[in-house]
Amino acid sequence: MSPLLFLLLAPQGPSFEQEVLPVLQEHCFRCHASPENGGPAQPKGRLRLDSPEQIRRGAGGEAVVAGYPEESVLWELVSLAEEDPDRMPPDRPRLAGEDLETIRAWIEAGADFGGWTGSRGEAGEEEPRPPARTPDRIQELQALAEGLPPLTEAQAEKLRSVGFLVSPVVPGTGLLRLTCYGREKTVNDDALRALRPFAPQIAVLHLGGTRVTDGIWPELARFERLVHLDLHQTQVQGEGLQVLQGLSHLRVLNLYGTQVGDLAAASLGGLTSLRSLYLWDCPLKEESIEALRKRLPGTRIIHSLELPGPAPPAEDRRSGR
Amino acid sequence: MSRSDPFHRADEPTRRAFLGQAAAGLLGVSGLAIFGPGVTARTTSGGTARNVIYLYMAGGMSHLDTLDVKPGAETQGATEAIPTQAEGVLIGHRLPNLARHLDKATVIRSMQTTQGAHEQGRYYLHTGYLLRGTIQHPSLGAWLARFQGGDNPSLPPHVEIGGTRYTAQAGFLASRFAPLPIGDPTRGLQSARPPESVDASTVARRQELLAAMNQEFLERRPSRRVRAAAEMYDQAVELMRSEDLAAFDLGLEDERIREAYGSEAFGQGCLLARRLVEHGVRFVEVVLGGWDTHVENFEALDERCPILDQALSTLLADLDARGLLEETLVVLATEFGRTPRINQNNGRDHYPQAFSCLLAGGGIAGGRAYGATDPTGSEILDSPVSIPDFNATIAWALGLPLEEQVFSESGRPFTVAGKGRPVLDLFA
Repeated sequence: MSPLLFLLLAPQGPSFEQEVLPVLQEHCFRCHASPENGGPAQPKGRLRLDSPEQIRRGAGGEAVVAGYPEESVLWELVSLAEEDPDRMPPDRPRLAGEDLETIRAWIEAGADFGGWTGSRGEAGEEEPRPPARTPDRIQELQALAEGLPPLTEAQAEKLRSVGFLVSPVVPGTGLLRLTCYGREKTVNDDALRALRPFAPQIAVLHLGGTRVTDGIWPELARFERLVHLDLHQTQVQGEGLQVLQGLSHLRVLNLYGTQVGDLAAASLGGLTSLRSLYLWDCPLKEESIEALRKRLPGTRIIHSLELPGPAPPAEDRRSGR
Repeated sequence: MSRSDPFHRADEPTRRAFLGQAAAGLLGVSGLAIFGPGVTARTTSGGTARNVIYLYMAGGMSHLDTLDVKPGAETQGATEAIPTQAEGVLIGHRLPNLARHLDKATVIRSMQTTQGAHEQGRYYLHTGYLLRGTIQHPSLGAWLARFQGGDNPSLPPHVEIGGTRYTAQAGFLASRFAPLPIGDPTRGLQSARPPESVDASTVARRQELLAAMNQEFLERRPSRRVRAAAEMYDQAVELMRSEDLAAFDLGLEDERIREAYGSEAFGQGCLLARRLVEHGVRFVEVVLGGWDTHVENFEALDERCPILDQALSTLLADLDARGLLEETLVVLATEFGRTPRINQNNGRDHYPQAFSCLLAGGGIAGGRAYGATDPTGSEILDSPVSIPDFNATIAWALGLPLEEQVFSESGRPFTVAGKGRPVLDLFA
């Protein structure tokens, strides 16, 4: 290549080392460089700007797109308006006009680093925030989840194959929540038997609207970590539900819209661990509900749906002005 | 050079987004996400709630006349305070039915925002980030869909009823996380069923024809995206036949319950939200406008509040009777409050410094007020809650990873609630 042609094709933008680097050093390195370059122990936002590789890598996407300042995060953040909370550097004035122009022109001309190799070293992680007080309900679930490894994809698939979608109750653990929305009509007592290998780690089980019957009670005895059981609008009548008395973590039992009646009330009265018991639209007499309230003083029993009357016509609503 | 992806744009037709989401669910993508690398032991999120019904009061609901009354204050005007089922918590007299259900809710009286204009405020409320020309941020429902997916493989996880610009949106996330928009809740899902002149065998024949054409196209251009588009149509047909479409049909509801929600679109939208959550939809936003009461504030509230009162009180009662409040977080939110000072038009103007929101269910403690304003409703005295904090609280309740960074197309890192921190004292 002739010298003249080389000059014509060479990048015309500012030199990285002589013009761009000093701007980055002055305004960015305090937070976005390794300690040897004056940065913190952990770079902010996992972004380091003290080597070509780190700048290219960015914080999960390129920080600089050669030739395209408007698509480069580095340019976007330094060029935001003075009052924009995302503008870099934060809590300091916006970069001077000529510094901004230097960065823009350098990216536009191809973001050539020249012979600069910068610093080695890996971008670290930001410090996690200190935890706040964890609500009791979550603490209880975390204790239950202790020692339960997350499901494998194969196990999740196995549950899906019998109609259940599964998710962790406590993120990152194997304490499980199972639902079958959209598959209710395929879930019956046999499907519940298929859950047997997972029974001890299921905390939330939604069977509302499914085809299960009183045949499931013996099976449910295996669900030793069960916290929330939803059987609304199923065929269960409550014959045999006393096995739930052995489930010491059971807090929520939803039986609304079932045929659970007065005969089952005595068994329900033994479920002293319950926080909430849902019995709306069940054939239970008022006396049975009253008796239940006495036996379960710590349980919220919901057995009715009280709706507000229809709204009065608009002309009756006017304030006395 | 264009780096935008035509299949992942936020302004794509939203039906496609919906069907794409359905495809994702059926293909098991959401199942994978549950156990993906994002869920680590470092996650600090709670997970007291599974679903959200988000009631957005568009225009800026007057805190002084609804959830933060100041009896005796000169700034109170024609609003009286009434007692509620929450001991010591008073609210405005136009919400008598809600008053009976405050034992299930916490009123937050120390909300504050930095945005005093409607679009900016609405955007900030929904995304936790400031409105800017350079990027579109996702709203909470899109983050939820992104991190956890849906609970019903044939329904979208994220639905918006009566939405408008800058309410629920996918932002820079893939368009399949965008909400399915419903305009009129009483009309259900438009065009989800074939016209009557097209019978099932015609649908099947057309589908075969389409499959044949797609097959040819696929052979010539084997691409994951082309395949995904073809699968999307299969899922659309699946959905047309799905029994879960019944979730959208308010005609299946008991007449007494339909009436109780109120005849306005908002009330029926709340009823639809309940039906959707019952069927495994996870995030439903319902919008009620008309709160921008610069002129004749009290007359306007005489008309607006009963719609909210009727719908929200019925929703809370209905969810409670069905046991759905256990895992469903009900959010009542607005972009800012209104001035304590009553202007010369007998109205109230925008007031970002202090306002009120309400949370119920999903693990939230009941019967409480959190935070407080001074005796005129002007300044926050105690426990301020910023918009990012509010969003972080909802995200925490859902068990979303607050620290996990997701990158925009331009490679910038964002988290579900920005710099917000969850207010864990709100939980039982």
